[in-house]
Amino acid sequence: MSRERFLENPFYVLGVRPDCTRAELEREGQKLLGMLELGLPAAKKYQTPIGEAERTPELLRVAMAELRDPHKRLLHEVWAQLPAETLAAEPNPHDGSGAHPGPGPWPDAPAALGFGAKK
Amino acid sequence: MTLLIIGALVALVLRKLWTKDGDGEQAESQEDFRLSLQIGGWLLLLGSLVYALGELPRGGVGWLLVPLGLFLLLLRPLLLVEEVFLPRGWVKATYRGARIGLWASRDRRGQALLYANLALLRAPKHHDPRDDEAYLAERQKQLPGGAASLLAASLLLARREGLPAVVPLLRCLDSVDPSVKPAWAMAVASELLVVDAVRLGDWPKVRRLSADSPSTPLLAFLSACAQVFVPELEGGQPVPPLSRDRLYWLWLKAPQKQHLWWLLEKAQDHALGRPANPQQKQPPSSARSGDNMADPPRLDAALAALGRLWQTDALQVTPEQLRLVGDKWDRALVDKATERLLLTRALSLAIPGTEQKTQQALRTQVVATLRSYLGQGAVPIRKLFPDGKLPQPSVLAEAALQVRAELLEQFESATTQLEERTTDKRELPWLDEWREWAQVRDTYQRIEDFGGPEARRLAWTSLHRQANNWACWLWNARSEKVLANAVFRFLLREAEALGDDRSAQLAKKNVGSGL
Repeated sequence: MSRERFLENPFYVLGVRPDCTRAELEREGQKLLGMLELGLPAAKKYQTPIGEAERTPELLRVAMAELRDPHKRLLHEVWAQLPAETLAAEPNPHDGSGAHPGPGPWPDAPAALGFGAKK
Repeated sequence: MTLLIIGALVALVLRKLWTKDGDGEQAESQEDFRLSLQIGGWLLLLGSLVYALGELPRGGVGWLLVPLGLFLLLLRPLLLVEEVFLPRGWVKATYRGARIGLWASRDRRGQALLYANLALLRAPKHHDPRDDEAYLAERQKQLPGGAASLLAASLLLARREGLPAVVPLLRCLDSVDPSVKPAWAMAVASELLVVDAVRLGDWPKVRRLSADSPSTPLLAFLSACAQVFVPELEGGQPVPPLSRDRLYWLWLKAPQKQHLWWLLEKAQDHALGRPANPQQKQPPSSARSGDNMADPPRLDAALAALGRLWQTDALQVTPEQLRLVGDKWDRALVDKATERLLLTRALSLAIPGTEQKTQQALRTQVVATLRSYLGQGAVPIRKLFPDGKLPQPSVLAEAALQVRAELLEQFESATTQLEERTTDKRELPWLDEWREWAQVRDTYQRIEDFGGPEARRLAWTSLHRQANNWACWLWNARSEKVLANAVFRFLLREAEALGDDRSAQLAKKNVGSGL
């Protein structure tokens, strides 16, 4: 669903604003890599407009590499215009305003009702 | 002694009959023969009952067991299978018991295998199913190919690949000849389809499917819940509300009650506190979320709308939500502030002149995102654009057209594959032939659901010739008559619905060839 545009946006991964300088990016990236290496819990998660995600050294390196290319950076900047705070959730789709009224998906229904391999 | 002789004669006849099973050419005469046997069985019951009653005054109480046993055998031949073997998950006993109990039925092996597969699904968790699966897979190879056989094979497939993998196969059952569609097997198929809709949380679909299905305790309960959650279907009449007691009673009769308790509670709560007026529209998301209150930049509003879409389950997305996202992006992409932002940032990054290219790339990414939502097929074009016109330029319209083109391309590739296989005379096992047909039909249905009658007509042009040739080959060279007949029936239905008289005549002639 292309959620990666938010979830893996390099600016959110690095926790910096889109108008930051190249030096700031590098400094922040190195700092976070160091923190991850030390196993500091503060560096393990980052915030995006659609929720929290897990930060890994690999993701950090990819983010830094992406932002070194100014053409790619410009596009990422557009997607990172929203502050890194979770957007206010929409009203519950099951309250009658969603596509389908009634309870939401029930993935275990086949197994529970005798039509799927038991888990 | 007389009864013993008659019994031996019946056994001999039955033995002869079983050895003929699967021979489709003599199906009709066998049907008559089986009916004669059933009548013979009832006469035997009557005779033995009279004899047993005559023996009673002389103290021969034991003789009563003979008519009693015969009575049970004739009235509920599958009593042991349904009440003992199947619920306990005894696969082999279920298969053997069902084969004996279904002695007078067509597609006896297929039906027995279906029972056995249901038993496998109900086997206790600690039971190692590998031996039973191998046993069923071995028997599946010998199936004659009726609806019960297909359903049995589908259940085995569902166990391995999950229920969604077999739903297209189950949908194909609607065009199978009624003479090879036992009612109880069709009820199982309906239950599977309804359970899949419950899995997706698509309660309007649960209501529609259960309304056209044979009544079973599970379907009755799920249908009642659907009536509570969806009192009014699109274009239909509202149903009167169900009482809590009625729901409770249906739950009591349903199988797997322990797993349905939460649903009963939800339905009862919903029945009590149903929204006063289902017609009452919610205010648009933009008004609710306060996006426009401080009049933020249009790009931010568009990003926020897309972010909210990503927070929603793909199957729960509404056409209004998609329209809102599309509108916001259409405005944001031509907004002066967006242009200014791109221009200044491009200058800061020392890449002047790239803003147009970036804007185009942004548009492409937005269209791709919307396309991934539309590709699920849950929101048809007519709901996205209720006035029937696709606005241009619009990211949503572009995404919708791309999805339609993709579906048509996918469909054409599937029908071409059929045609090539027919020309090369490349055979597949019977179940794989069914799966290929199910895939073609599924794509055809998705095209119709998404693109409406216009897209359906486009798809029909590449369907009827290829599918007809393939089905003729199946009929003439492969003797896969049940599948070929199902294809002809489907083609006839479509030709009639689309007013294609020539194709309808041909399909009618082919359907008339029977099984």
